Amino acid sequence: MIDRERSRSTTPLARRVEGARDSMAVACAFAEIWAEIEDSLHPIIGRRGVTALFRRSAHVSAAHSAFLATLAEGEPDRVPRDRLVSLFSGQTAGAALDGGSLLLNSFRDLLSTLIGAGLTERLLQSVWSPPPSGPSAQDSPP
Amino acid sequence: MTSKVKIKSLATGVPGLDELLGGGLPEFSFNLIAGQPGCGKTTLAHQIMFSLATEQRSALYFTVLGEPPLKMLRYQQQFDFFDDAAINRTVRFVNLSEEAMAGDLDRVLARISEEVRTHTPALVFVDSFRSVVLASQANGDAHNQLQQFMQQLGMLMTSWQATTFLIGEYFTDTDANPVFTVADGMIWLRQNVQRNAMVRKMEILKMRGHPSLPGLYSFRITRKGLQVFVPPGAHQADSPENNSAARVGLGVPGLDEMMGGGLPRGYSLLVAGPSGSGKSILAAAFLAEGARLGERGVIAAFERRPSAASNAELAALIKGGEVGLIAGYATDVSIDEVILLLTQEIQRLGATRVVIDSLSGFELTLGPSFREDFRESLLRLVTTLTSRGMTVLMTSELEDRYGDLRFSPYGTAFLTDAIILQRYIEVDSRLRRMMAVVKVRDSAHSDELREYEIGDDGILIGARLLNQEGLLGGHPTRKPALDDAARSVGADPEVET
Repeated sequence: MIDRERSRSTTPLARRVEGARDSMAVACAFAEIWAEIEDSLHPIIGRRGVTALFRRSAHVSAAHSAFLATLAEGEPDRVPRDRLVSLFSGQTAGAALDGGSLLLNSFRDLLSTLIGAGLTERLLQSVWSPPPSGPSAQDSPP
Repeated sequence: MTSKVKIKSLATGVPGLDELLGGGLPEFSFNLIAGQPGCGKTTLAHQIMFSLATEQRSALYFTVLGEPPLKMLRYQQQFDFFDDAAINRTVRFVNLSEEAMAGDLDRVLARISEEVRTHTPALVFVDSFRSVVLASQANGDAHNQLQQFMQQLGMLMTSWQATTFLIGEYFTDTDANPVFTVADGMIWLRQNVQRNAMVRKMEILKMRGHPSLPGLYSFRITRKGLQVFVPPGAHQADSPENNSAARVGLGVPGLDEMMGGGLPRGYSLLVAGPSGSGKSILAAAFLAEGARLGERGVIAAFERRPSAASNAELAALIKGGEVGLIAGYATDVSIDEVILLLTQEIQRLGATRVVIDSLSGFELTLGPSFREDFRESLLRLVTTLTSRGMTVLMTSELEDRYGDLRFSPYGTAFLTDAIILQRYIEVDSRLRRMMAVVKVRDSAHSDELREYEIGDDGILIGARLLNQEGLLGGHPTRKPALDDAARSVGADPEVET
């Protein structure tokens, strides 16, 4: 059973759209995250490999977020950004966030089952756990 | 002072491979790892890569059209050498499938150049290179294209000071292939399945600048990766250390006297006899005597029920660490693998006594293809051990045949320095045991045939079998005593009694 709260809170999507109320913001954030994942993985497993994993993840996730079913098919070597944006922006903000989070988690789980959690974390680290941006907290001067 | 360039050798991290290569892998060399599918090429490449890659010496692994990278990562992770933490730090994977699928070698080369410039790796792997070749064939004049590609790739890698490995599926090493010409080194992996045994062998067909070992060497793939079995001292024969006049006790009262004062140290002894004649008991006594004198030993047990398990004294010595036990082999073991296991155990214990129990079991344990040259391999085993000063005792099962005098079914008697023969004989409707020292090279020894018994304390050698003839035939006859002979001349025995 899908834990929507967990699914939301553990993906980079929820962090990036924090506070946003419109589905377009969610759609753009999802497309951006997907581009980062592609950039991280395609040099290693090839564009076709990454796309195949994405389509399989969409197929699995569609059982809970039906609008994702349309992503399970398409070109074998790329997932067009404009298609992602139009699909996610056509949902409510909540549905887009739930579906996007679910899809990203499914993708990560699928990769983990294939190459192990350790290597998956290492390869997706820049997307899932980016280094904190902005100045680090400083001790207050005495 | 010499101005000649010195070629640095890289330790590959693959046990046995550096010895086979003649001291490691030449730095900046351009190598081909070849062989048929499933023989371990990709595993060898990964093992070398993870062993060699460091922050200062990073590696680029180009995957082309062979095994999908996802699967490769999945399966290679099962090996101990695979290090997650090295990925994208010291080891970087680059997928070239798009360039290769286009069939344009220039694009492939351009992408490799770009990645090499970006990451300046010291180690480069292209897997599978064969698929680069096949992809190029779609564009006609494949041979020329490939030749140019190879020249440029070789030049590029050398100028970037990268030690390079092309991994490819090749079935014959005799093709006039541009890859073979340009490569500095060719590591060829072969595999052969006979019955239910898989035998893998490695050959260094070429290694410029290094005195690699000629011939085929068996290797095994386990969770630790590849291990090549190169007999110790294969580069040069060790000087024999068995010139010492010292003798080793065999641990059986009376037997040392029969041997002329014990077995000369560094000799090999064959104990031949039929089943149940006490060969393993003699071998255990030999090890126990060593332990009593502070000498450690190693036993390679090939019997289905090793004597180590049933002989309490030997089991105690093994448990106490005075004797090392090597047992439980795979069905496709090679003699070189056994030699390596033995020498490792000998070194670990500082052992001076070695037992191989028995040659018959040993032969059955070997992979089918290794049995063909059993005699030659056994000679190598004996020579390797004795040249290192080991005193070796081997047991050999004899068929219960009395028509001919044989010491082992392998014609191995000439390999050994000494031979003890055990036989069953029938005397007074009883099955009794007899022992003789047949040979001790360069040494006087007893020529007596002695009866012996096996009791709770081991082998007990008895008296010489007097008044018996034809003992070696198994059916001795009583030799007439002198007084009997005298009586037989015209006397009536009935009257005498």
